[in-house]
Amino acid sequence: MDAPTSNETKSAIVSLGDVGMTYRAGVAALDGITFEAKEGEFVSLVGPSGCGKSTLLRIVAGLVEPSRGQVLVAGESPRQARRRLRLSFVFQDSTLLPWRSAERNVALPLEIAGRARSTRRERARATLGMVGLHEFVYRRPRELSGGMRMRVSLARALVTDPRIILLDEPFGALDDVTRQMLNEELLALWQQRGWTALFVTHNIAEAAFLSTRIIVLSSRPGRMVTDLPVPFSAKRPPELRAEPEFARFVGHVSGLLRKGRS
Amino acid sequence: MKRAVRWLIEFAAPPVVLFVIVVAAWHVAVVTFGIKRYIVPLPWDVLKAGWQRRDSLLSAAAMTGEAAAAGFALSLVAGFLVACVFSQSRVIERSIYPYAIFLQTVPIVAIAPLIVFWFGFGFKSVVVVAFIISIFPIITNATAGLTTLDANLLELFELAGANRWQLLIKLRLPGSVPHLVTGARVSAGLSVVGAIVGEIFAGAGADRPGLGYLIQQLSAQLRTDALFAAILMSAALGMLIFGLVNMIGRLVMKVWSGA
Repeated sequence: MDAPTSNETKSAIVSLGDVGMTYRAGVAALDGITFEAKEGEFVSLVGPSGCGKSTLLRIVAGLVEPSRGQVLVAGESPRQARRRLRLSFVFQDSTLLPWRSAERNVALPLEIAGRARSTRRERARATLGMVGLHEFVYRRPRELSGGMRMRVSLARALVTDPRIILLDEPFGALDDVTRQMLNEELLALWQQRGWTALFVTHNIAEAAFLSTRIIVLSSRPGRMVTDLPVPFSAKRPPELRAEPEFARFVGHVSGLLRKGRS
Repeated sequence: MKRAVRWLIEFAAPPVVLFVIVVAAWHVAVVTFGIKRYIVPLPWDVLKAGWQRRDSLLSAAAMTGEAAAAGFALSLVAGFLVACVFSQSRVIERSIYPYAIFLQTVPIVAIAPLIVFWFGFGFKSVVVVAFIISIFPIITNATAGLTTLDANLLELFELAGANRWQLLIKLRLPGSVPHLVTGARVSAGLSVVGAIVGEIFAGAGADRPGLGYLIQQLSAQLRTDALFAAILMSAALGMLIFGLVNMIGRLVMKVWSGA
């Protein structure tokens, strides 16, 4: 395991110290996870399926209590932090309410927070516009394609103007082209807004294209194999995927991922 | 036009052909085996008896339909309320559920006399029997709809800081609609059965005779031809109510999820 990176502690918005997770049946899911994410970083967690990546994300969200270790979000426990700062979660599938239009799905977090109807409408529409769905505000999930549904889901996460976004393999079910397009949009939104992102995926190219840092986890129990910075500048055109250095980096991470497989 | 013709051939023709075959076989069997008419009447006799008594049959069907609709409506409301309570408390669900099953497994014919004791001869008892028999599918389906939720949706609401009330209003209630529609479909058919059973026991006290009462009277008089007509009328009523609820259900689902 690599030592924690040299991020300054004061600007760390998410910090995990020796976090471990063991289920009641004695199955170890995560072990010795230690890392920090600085404000504004885009950190990808890659690893084989079943390595506890999703569990790790849920621990940071305060949805699951870890068996061991310390988790701090903005210096507080995840549950406390959640009440104060805005934290969004994007699920593996779009997780939309089938009876609500795109607009009302996006407005849901604001509605639960008790915001005024006019504010909700305005913000939901603006955010749907950001993900290119301004023409589809009245459509129900059933009337949208898989990629569009994921965009609505993304808009719902963005509508609260969050400081942290946790993404749990959000594009896993999409075809390759749709996935790449959504990657580019997500990157652009991140560059505009500057939230901190923890992004779970098992697609290395996706992680390399999006993140500032990649953390590689081993198979069950998930341990940290490595924590490495992504050597590309913040400005990443789609053509980056065709560059030899990009391919070399993806190959390098793949090698590390293979090493972590037992 | 062409499509309508194809629909007629593909979907309407097979049951019609089967109907003709069955009626013909019925007629031939009665004639060739010399079955007594009061045991199995000829199809023609049934038709004749039904036509002669068309007014009383229709009025009886209306009566039974009224009782079934009342029982169904009551079970829809009460069953949904029970399910709401169940969805809010595991303890309450666990303590009441066995009795709901009891209500379902006890033959309705066995408790019908008791209901007549309590609610008197007449319409009220008929509605109660229809209600009891049709509430169970509503309770089970609505409870399932209110409690089996997508784990991610629950997490979404938790992360947004939703309270119990918001969870009920914004997630559980609207999410239970498809289950409720399924339950209502089953329960609508059962309510007709319940109303007819109820009338066999308590129909004598109603303002007008319903199908159940008519069936009982006709069987006592050995009017098999008219009895057959009444039975067919009951089936038609059941299909009508089922079809109606099915149609409303489809409409509800269309409004629910668009498209």
